[in-house]
Amino acid sequence: VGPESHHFDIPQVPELNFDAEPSEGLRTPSPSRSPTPPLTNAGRPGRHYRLPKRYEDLPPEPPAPLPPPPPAPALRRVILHVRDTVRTALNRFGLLREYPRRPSYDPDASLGSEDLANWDAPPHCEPAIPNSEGLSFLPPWPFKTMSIYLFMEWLNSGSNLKSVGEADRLVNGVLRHQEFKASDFDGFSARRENRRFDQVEADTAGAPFGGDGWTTSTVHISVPTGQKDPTGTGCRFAIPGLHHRPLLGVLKAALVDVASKRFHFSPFKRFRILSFGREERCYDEVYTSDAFLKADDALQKQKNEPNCTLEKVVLGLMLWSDSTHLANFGNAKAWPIYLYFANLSKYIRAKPTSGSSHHIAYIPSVSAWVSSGLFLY
Amino acid sequence: VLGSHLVYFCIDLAFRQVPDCINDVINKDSQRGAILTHCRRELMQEVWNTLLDGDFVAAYKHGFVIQCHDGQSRRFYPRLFTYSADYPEK
Repeated sequence: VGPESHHFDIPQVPELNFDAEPSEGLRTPSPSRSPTPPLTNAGRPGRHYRLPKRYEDLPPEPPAPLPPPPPAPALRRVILHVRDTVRTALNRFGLLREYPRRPSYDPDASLGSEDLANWDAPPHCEPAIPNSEGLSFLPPWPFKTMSIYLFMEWLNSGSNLKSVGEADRLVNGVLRHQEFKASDFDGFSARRENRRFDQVEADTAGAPFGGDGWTTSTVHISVPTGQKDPTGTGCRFAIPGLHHRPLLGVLKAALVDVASKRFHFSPFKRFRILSFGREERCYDEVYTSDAFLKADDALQKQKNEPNCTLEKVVLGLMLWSDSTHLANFGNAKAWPIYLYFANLSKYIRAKPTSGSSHHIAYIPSVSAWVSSGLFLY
Repeated sequence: VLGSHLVYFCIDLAFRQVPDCINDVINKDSQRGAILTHCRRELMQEVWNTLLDGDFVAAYKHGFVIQCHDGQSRRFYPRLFTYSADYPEK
């Protein structure tokens, strides 16, 4: 039990006055409306229409923030496995988080509405295209500014492989970026910058993101021959063509990638407070599951590495493999192994565009090697 | 390719009387399907033997230190939570 217990009241949901008292008759439920409803054409009092509750669309809300850390005691005494349970307040959906230990980092603290909702862009009305009457037909006609004119001209000329979506991505993600400066492109050559990118791997072998490149290995398997074999090992055959990346290199590269800002380093329990005060556990992510909490607890109790006082963090790996057809026709197949991180929310991990799937290996096909002939090791 | 393996072929022919090519085992055998299943299982085991290399096992036991985006260094211990794959017997 924590040093002090916190009590939180369930926040008052802003209540819409749905149930007007029958005796109140014509009284308006909301003060913003006129005291007497206007009459209809038939001379009867008009009705107040309200949206049925099922059409109420509550915007999503991030979990409530962590309470501020308590002031450090003047006398620090080390007690083994002190439980410093931290509970957050409730958010509007009655959800709270309970950490067994105070987390050093809260990735949910900076969640924006675009992370919580599944719309791509806030819905807005497209402004009508103004009538071209009375305008000159000189550039930038029919566009608003010369910048848009130049961009649209580029988009609709040259290669036809530029899609509208990619063009929007270029404008919103690059040209409008705060740090974008056109002057940086003096003497720019895409080919040279690509070469620089390729060289990075070779030049920075010691960097944490380095050393996660692909290698090819040959594996050896034992096959029984059906003949008497005193060693009992059968025949060893070589299967070449296992393409794989070193697992540790992939883990390190993923942790320095920008996506790791959203990683949860500390597991927690999520609770929902029901209306009559009862608590209900919510199982929603790997890092809120009992398995993760148990693994974390075991790790915290594990002895520290010598001369290391760094925080110990469980990096949850989720591996996935299935053979995949590569084409609609024919039998081109690949057999990949993918890696996902359990520290990342499933709402990010499961998005195909989030780039959170890491390719670990492509397994060679046995059938292909049998038909071409496996050879002895 | 065949030429480079001919040496092994000759040696084995001389000493152990085993085939050089898996088809010599399989085609003559009525157990073709069972042997292929065996090969795939062996392959999967060997692939994981290759992937879970010494570096990974060391990191699993002793962790590895990375400086995170918030500037703090942490010691990460990889743990396997799920493994979803179809058994590659077919």
